[in-house]
Amino acid sequence: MRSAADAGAFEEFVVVQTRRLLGFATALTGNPHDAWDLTQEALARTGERWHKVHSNPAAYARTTMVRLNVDRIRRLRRELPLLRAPEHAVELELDGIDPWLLDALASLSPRQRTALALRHLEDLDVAQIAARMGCSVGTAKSHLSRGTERLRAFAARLAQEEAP
Amino acid sequence: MNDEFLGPAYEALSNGVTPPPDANEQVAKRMLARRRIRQLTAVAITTGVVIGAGATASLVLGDGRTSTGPSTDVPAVSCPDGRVIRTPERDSVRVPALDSPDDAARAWAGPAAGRVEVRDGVGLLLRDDGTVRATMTLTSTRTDLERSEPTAWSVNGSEVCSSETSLASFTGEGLLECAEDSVVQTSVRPPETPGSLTALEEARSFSDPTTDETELQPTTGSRSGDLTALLVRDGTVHTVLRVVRLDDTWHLRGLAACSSELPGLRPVSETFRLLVGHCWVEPVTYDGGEWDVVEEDQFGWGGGMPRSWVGIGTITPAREGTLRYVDAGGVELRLVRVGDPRAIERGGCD
Repeated sequence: MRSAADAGAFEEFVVVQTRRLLGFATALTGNPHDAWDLTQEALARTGERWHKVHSNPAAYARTTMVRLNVDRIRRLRRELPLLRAPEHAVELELDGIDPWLLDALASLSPRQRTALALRHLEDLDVAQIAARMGCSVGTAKSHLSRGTERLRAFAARLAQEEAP
Repeated sequence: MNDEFLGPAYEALSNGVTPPPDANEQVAKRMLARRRIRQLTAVAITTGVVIGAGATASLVLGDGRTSTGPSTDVPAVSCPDGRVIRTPERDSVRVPALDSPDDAARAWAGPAAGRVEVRDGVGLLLRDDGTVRATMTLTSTRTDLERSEPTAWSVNGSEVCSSETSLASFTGEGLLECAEDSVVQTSVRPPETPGSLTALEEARSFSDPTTDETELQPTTGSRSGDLTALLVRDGTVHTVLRVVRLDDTWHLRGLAACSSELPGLRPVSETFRLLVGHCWVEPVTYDGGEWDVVEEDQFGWGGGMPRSWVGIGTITPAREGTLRYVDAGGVELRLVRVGDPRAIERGGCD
């Protein structure tokens, strides 16, 4: 952050964008608490590069999230305790989210979650998803298809359990 | 369930998690913590220089300044339980990446934007507006049903950071669409002389001071936040590579080959061949059993992706009764026993 104006703009960005970024991170991780960790990390990195990314910081933050996969975030958390403030047990409110969706997302692989999040929240087509994930189109298709299949199976099982 | 169903569910997800009220404060703390870690890194580097016991080295800092310092303040690269079998310093082993006429060359600022800098034995990828270029060695080809001609498969990276290009136009250098945060990869090519040591088959991306703990066991005392140690295997020995990041500059600070009998590490197989059939990797025989891929780890899905592909690599026993297949083409697969619930469901694919 090079100036007070930059700092102010970044703070405003955090205020305005954090909710959607957190939602995106939740779709990526399937876990709101991991999502908050991922969001903080992405925001911190965005802030550090603010002077370079200020033209579209939200896109930069989302890209950072995609690239900081869940495993990496978890390792980062273990290895860099300075980044953690244990006394800060974050309480996140979930509003209007079907609980089954989080359970279902948690059952997917990180890449499947990533592909689905890019499809449904970023509205990317398969080629764009492949480019964003750095994989082939076929692999992206695979992640999308299998992820959707799993979600479908999860929902079907749930419906069956809830049927009278 | 279809997109009409999933779309609203995702939209609800997108707006449905309320950040903590002190989000700005927490982000600020995170930034502060990250800054402290970087400062610690800089302090560690500018006051004590690593690279091997007794060695003194010069540093080229990110801004071009050069500094020198004593080498004893920071532990040298070491193997668990002291089971070093060779180090460049002790055994006069030639490590191309570290072999330089003067100490200063042991640290380098990395390539300039838009350029590829290749040290002898080390290919350094670089940022280039979100993409990177890397030296590539053609080790495998794929016949892709979606393409009309064979393609070359990059080697300097996993599938996350890889590239396919026309075999006809393959020039040994390829544009990779890598994640910005994973663009730095280093690989030291296998030695020409058997037994001459120091082949890193693959050093993973390490934009963060992390090690892939699923396969690369951490070395006691080798990570201190400012230093990164990678424990990688080249098929015969395990190698500790220490890399220091100072802002966007990476420094290879030391390297030691360790005994292949280190605790927690298991030997890799001899060269292994995997075939990709109609849809999937064909089951392979290893250790008296049949092994299969797990669903998220195979190439493509339902046909289309590499067909008639042969991968040549090594297999390593991994966690939870799995095997890990890695080849020089950057392909990495997890294998489980045939019949294991984690194995792919082939359905009507066969």
